[in-house]
Amino acid sequence: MIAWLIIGGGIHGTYLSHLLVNKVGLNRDDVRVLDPHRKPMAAWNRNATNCGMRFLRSPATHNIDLPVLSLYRFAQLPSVKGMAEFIPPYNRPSLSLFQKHCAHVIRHFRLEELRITGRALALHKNNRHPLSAETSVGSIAARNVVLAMGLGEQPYWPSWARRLRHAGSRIDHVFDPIFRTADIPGSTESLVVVGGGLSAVQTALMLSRKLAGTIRLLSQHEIYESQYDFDPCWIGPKCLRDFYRLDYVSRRAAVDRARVGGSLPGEIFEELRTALDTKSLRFQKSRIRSAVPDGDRIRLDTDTGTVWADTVVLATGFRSDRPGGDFIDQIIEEFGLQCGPCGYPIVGEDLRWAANIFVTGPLGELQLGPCARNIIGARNAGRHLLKVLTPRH
Amino acid sequence: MDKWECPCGYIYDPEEGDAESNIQVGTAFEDLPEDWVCPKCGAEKEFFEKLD
Repeated sequence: MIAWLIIGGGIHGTYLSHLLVNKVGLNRDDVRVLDPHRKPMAAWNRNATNCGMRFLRSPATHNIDLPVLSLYRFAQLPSVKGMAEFIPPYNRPSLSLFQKHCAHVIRHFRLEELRITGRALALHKNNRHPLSAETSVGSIAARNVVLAMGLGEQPYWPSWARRLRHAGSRIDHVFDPIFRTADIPGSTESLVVVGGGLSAVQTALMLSRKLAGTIRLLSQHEIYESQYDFDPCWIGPKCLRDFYRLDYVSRRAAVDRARVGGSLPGEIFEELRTALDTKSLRFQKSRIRSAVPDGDRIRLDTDTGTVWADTVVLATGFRSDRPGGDFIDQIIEEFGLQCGPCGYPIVGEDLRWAANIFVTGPLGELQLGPCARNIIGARNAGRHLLKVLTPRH
Repeated sequence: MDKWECPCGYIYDPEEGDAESNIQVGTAFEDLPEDWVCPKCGAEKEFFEKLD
């Protein structure tokens, strides 16, 4: 039996495994990370690359190593210094630097050895052990389980888009595991990107650089400049103190209000403005009402007129319903766990959902607040979990 | 004088001080009042780390 089984090996699961072994001092054999992907953070890396991210939106202190300044120090290494890029004033690292740092941390601390490649199917109470995880690669007995699933497996498909895909039209979601920009024919004459957030703009800009045809970005709302996707007050006590006083309906409302989409950091906003000025990209504020295949093309009926496309790429983010699907449903039923009206777990200050079951990431949103799903959310979750553990140093 | 960084990403720079909290330009991090907190997220001084 292992002491801790972390289910989900993205940024949150990888960081927590590092914390448990190298901060708390647990034996390496006592910690395992279960994830369907062989490589740590596979879905995050794929999504970041697919949407054309060049710089992270978060500062360098938001990284997967234990010391807050680890990424800065990594950037000072002679072998890295030449390619270390940051955007001031909050020193946001380039995607390439961030990924190299993650790979360095994972390699240096041998975090990949903690992984089990497989999918969690159910979690049971067990007479002999506190918990037994039924997985695609057999049963795993554990004293404690951390549920660290992200939203990565639930890209949001509007109903018109699902119908279009069912009809066989060329429509993809930038966060689908099978999406590859290289699969979009170079001969594409008109491509529409749908979405109004940073990912949509980055995707549209990337495609406008790659393809010669007309690239159009359709967004339901105006796009504006803002350094952050949520106010940094939510990272610390400045806003969280009042958040903890709220009931769970109000907490959900506060999270949704704080995470309003449609804002772009300065450099992307400038790049978009240039692309619009040079007409390499077109922007249209429109709501799509329906979409139908028309021969080899797609007709999008919007509230501002009809738009034609050879290919549609969705960059509509993720569904906001509770991640984990049937697996989490089963746990809730078997363990009689509490959820807020929005369906998300009601957990304690230490992120404990049941005696030996903890959460992090979006599943911890009603406790961690609007930053739960971000990299800093993983670090904050680690601090909460440390309250139930005894650090070695 | 050294700059110090909060886990949220805010950097305290003595050359800028912190006008929001009436901290004058030229105040070293070590001389900030003990009850001073990060103006962005509210973290206490102990969470800050000195930038190299």
